[in-house]
Amino acid sequence: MTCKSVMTVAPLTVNGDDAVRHAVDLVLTQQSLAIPVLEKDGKLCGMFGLHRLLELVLPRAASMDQGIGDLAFMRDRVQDLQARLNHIAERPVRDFAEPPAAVLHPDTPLVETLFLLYKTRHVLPVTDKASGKLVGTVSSWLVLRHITGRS
Amino acid sequence: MHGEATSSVVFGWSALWAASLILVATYAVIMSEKVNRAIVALLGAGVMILLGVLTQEAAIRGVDFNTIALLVGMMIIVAVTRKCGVFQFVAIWSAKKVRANPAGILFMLQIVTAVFSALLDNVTTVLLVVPVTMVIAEELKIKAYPILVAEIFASNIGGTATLIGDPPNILIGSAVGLSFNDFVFALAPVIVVIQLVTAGLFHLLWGRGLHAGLEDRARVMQFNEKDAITDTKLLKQSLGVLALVIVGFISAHQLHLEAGTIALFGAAVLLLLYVFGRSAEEQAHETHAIFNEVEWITIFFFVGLFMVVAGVEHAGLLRILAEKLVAATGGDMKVTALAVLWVSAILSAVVDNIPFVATMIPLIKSMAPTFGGPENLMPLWWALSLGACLGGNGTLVGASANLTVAGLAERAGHPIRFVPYLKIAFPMMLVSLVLATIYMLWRYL
Repeated sequence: MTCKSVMTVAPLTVNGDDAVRHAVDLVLTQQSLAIPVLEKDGKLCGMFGLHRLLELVLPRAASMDQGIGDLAFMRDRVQDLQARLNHIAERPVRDFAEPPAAVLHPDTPLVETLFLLYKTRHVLPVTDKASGKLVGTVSSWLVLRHITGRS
Repeated sequence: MHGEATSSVVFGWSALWAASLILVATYAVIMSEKVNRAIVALLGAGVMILLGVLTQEAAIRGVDFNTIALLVGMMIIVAVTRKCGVFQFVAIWSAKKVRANPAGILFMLQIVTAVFSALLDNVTTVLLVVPVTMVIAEELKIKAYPILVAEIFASNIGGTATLIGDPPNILIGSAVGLSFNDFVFALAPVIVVIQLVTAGLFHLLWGRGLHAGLEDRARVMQFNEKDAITDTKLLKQSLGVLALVIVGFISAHQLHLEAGTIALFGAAVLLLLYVFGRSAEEQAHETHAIFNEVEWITIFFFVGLFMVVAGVEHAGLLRILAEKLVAATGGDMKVTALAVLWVSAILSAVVDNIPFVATMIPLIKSMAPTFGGPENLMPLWWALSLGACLGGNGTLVGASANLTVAGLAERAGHPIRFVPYLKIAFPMMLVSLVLATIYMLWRYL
């Protein structure tokens, strides 16, 4: 059994040129952990999801490598956090897409798919090896439902 | 020839030529940054032994274990201390002391960085101060760039003031037997002046142009620095041990102890306090995690470098170079000291100051007969320290702290580029050298 048998074939996606505001709406209204960001030709540009969204409302120094380890001293209000997001709301989501934690292919074995989901705790994109175009996504929910016969 | 260098090595090469070649090759590869500097230094040391320039025993004797112990000890103390959040506390407290005024913050964070750098190593200091700086700058909606550049300067200037502030001082202090007090009495006065003048220049250059809105300043004023302290018990233990270690450094001569012994003993006591009462498994985990924070690249770099320098020293190269330097300066202490100051600074701005100082130490030592004995070499040691440490500010690659800040700034979207930095930093480094020159002439020459 391979990744192809458990992936979502028509996942929710955003275009790299779309505004961040649009991607945020999609993530929150669809309660999606992460959605693929695509180039015009259908190739994967990156992922945009809850983790990235949390990062964008925090100070930059909190999310960077070797950044600040504790923000207990800060007293920012909701409107301060909103202001951070509003500041970038109209910019293209491409600028904020994260490189995927791992990329799967339709022929990736099921165990390897499971292992990568375990390691990355993400929704993972599935791309066509030859063209690099997105063909689906895989989430822990989908795989576990399949394994437990609830799909 | 057990334990000694040989006059000729494999293939009948002269030891002098072989050692010179290895030294130049080691320097060249370190400067190219193509291979990690610790690997290069260890390879250089290995080749020195394999070619027969040094015996294994002589190579081991070349390693200054006092320096190694001092570095490792302080790295462990800092690794434990940083966990309690005291550095963030001080940075936030200082920003609030100036009512979150950007120009005031520019000044205060320089002072905080300089003081921390005098007591800790520079890279650790900037790793702790820079992220808080970025948070404050973001809240104030001002550019972090001016403060980050000023912090680079402060870290290198502050580190010059003490024995433990900067690796060149650790090397000089250990090799010459200079104490913590010797460094403070000799260098701290001029360092205070240089730091204040530098802060004044940064104010004229950038500080007076930094403005923040009242609402943004109010947000910083609402920071609660006490919440930055994550572990009060650890805070008390860390500061207690750090204070005792510094008292130990100050009293080292009376105690007949080397600084390395004091630092390593302090590290062991702090580790004991940190893991006390935990299960054996937890102790192993925490001790392993703290040891992981020791910068082993730096430690092995030092080990390899000591051996390479021991090789060229045994081969007689440094004695020849010292004779040339004395001949060039006419054996005049004033000219020699100022030459050491300025050449050290200019070279330290472009090459790693650690190998440079490691090479200069035996070279200066061998000038003792010319100047009437080792006790008359003091001006040269202070010139070397001031030149090597202050020179690090001249370019972005001049010191490890500079590259660390640049790396953090890049990740946060405030890149510090080589040429724009050079345009500001090199003239400012020259100002600090002029001040150091005046001080040297007034006090020692």
